[in-house]
Amino acid sequence: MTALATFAWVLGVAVAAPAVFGRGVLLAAVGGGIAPAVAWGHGYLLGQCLLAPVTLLQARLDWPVHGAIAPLVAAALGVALARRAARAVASPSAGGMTWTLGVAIALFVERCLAAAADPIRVSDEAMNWASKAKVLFAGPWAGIGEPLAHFVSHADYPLLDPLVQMQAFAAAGRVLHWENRAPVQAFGVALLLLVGAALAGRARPAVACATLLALLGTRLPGYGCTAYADVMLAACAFAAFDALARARDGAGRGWWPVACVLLAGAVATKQEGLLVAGAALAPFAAERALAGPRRAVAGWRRAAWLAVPALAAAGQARFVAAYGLANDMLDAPGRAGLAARIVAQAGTHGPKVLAHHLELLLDGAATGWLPLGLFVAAPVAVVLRGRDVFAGVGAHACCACALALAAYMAVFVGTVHDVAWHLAVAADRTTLHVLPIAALGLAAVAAPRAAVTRGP
Amino acid sequence: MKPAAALAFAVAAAMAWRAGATLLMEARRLAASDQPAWSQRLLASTDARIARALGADAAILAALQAAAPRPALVVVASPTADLATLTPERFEAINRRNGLIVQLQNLAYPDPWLQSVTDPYGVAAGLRAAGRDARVLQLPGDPAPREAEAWRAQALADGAVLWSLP
Repeated sequence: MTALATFAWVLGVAVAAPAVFGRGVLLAAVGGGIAPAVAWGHGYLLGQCLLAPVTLLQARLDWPVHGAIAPLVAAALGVALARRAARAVASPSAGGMTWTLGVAIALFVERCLAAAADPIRVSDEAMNWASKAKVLFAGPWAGIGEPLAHFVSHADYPLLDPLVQMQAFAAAGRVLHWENRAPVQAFGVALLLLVGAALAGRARPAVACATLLALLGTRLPGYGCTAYADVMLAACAFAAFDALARARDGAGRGWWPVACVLLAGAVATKQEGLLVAGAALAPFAAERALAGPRRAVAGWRRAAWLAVPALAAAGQARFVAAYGLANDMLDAPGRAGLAARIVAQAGTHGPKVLAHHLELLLDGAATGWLPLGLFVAAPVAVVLRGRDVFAGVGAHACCACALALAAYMAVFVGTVHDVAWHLAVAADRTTLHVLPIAALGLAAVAAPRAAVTRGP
Repeated sequence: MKPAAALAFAVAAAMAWRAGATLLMEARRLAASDQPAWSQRLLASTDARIARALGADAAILAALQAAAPRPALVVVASPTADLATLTPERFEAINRRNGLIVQLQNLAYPDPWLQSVTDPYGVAAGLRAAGRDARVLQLPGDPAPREAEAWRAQALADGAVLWSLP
C-alpha cells in the first residue's frame, strides 16, 4: 500500500468513522436541530471518547478481529442513528463565520500536513504519547509492564491520546510513524468547528470572526498539529463547557449526558484534565445550586451521569496501580504530598509562578490576550449590564478560566522540579487548555449577539 | 458612545489586531522557504520521511532493524558525563548522541526495543545468563566489549556495530 493510500485508510478508519459514529450518537441524544459544525465537532469528540474503551478492550483481550472492524461497525451504527434523528440545521445568519471558519481550518490542516513530513521521533510527542500507543498496540499485553516502565516517559499519563493513535495502528495492522498524528490532530479541527459555531451563536459577527482568528494566532495550532495531548484536552474541555451551556439553556435533555462523556474525555486525556473538567463544571453546578432547592434536587438525580467521568478517573487509577506506575507530582518518593508542598513552597515559588503567568497573559503570541481580555471585560460587563451577563456564557467562562488557571498555578507552586524550568516547559501548554473557553467568554461578554439571549 | 458599546469596541479592536497578527504570521509561515514540499507531505514513504529527518543516521536504524531478530531487546550505552570536567564540546556531543538514541528508540520500537543503560555489555551478559537474548548496539565513539572475542560482531552502518553473545 502506498503512503498516501495508508494515510487515506487511517483517515477513514481512525478519523471519519469515529466522527460519523459520534455524530449519530449526538443527534440521537439531543434530537437534532443543531448546526452541522456543532454536530461534527461534538460528534468527533464523542465518537473518540466512546470508541477508546473498545480499542483498549480489544487490545487487552487480544481480540482476533481486524482493528478497522469496530470503528467501521460503529460508523454504520452512527449513520443509522443519524437517520432516525432530526436533521442538523444550518446556523442562522452566520455573518461571515462560515468563511472565517473555512480559512481557519484550511490553515490548520495545512500545518498538520506540513508536520506529517516529519515522523514522530522526539519530545513528549514521541516519548510520552506515541511510545505508549506503540507499547499498547505491539503487546503482548502480559509483557507491557517492562516497556511501560523503561520505554515510555510518564507512563502514568491517561490513555485517550495513546488509544486514538492506537486506532490508527489497528487500522493499518502495524505501528506507524506519522499517520498516527491524524486522529489527534482532528481534535484541533473539531475544536475550531465548535469554537466557530459557539462564537457565531453567542457573539456579534465581526467580533466572533476576529476572535476565532485571534485564537488561531495563539500557540494552540502549533501544539494541535502534533500528537501532544494538550489540544485534545482543550477540545474536550471546550466541548464539555459548550454542552453544559446548552443543557443550562434548555437546548435539550441530551446535552447533559453528552457533557458528562466529554468531561470523561478531558479526565482521560491528561492528569490535569481532572482540574480543567472540574473548572468547566463548577460555574454551572454553582448556578444550579443557587437556583433553589427544587432545581438542586432535580440536579442531584441527573448527577448520576457524573459517574461517567468518575469511571474514567477510576479506570485510569486502576491502570496506574496495575503496572505500579507513579506520577512525578503526586507520588514523588521521599517528598511531602502536593498540598503540603504548595503550602511549604508558596513563599519561594508563588511570586515566580504569578509573574510567569502574568507574562503569559500579556503575551499576545502565546495567549492572544484572550484570558486577559476576559478577566478585564467580564467584571466591567457585570458593572455595566448587571445580572444580564449571567444569562450568557461570559461569566461562566471567566469563572472556569480563573479556577483552572488558579489550580494550575497552585500545582506549579508545589512542583518537585526546578520551578523556572517547569514553568518554561509547561506553563504555556497548561494555559492553552482554557484558551478556547476564554475566547468564547470574551466575545460573548463584550459583544453579545443581540438576537440570542440563550445559546445558539 | 455608551459604556457597553465602548467595551464592545475595545474588545473588537483588540481582537481585530490579534486577527491581523495571525494572518500576517500565517502568510509569513506559508511563504517561508523551509516548508516541506507537498510530495514530502503526502507521497513520501515512511522510510523517505525517516531518511529526511535522520540524515546519515537513518542507515543505522535501517541496518539495526534488518539485523536484530524479532522480537529483540537491544541495549546501548547511555551518555554520561562528569559535571566537574564537562566542556561545552562534550556537552554538545552528549546532547547529539542522546538525541540520536531517543530517535532510534522511538522509530525502531517494537522491532527492536532499544534501551539505553549505563553498562550495556554487563546488562546483555546478565540477561544472556538468565536465558534471555539481548544485544548491544555500539554507536560510533562507544567502546567495544572488553573481552571482544567472546562476542559476535555484526557491522551495521556508519561505524555502528551490533554485538551479541553466542
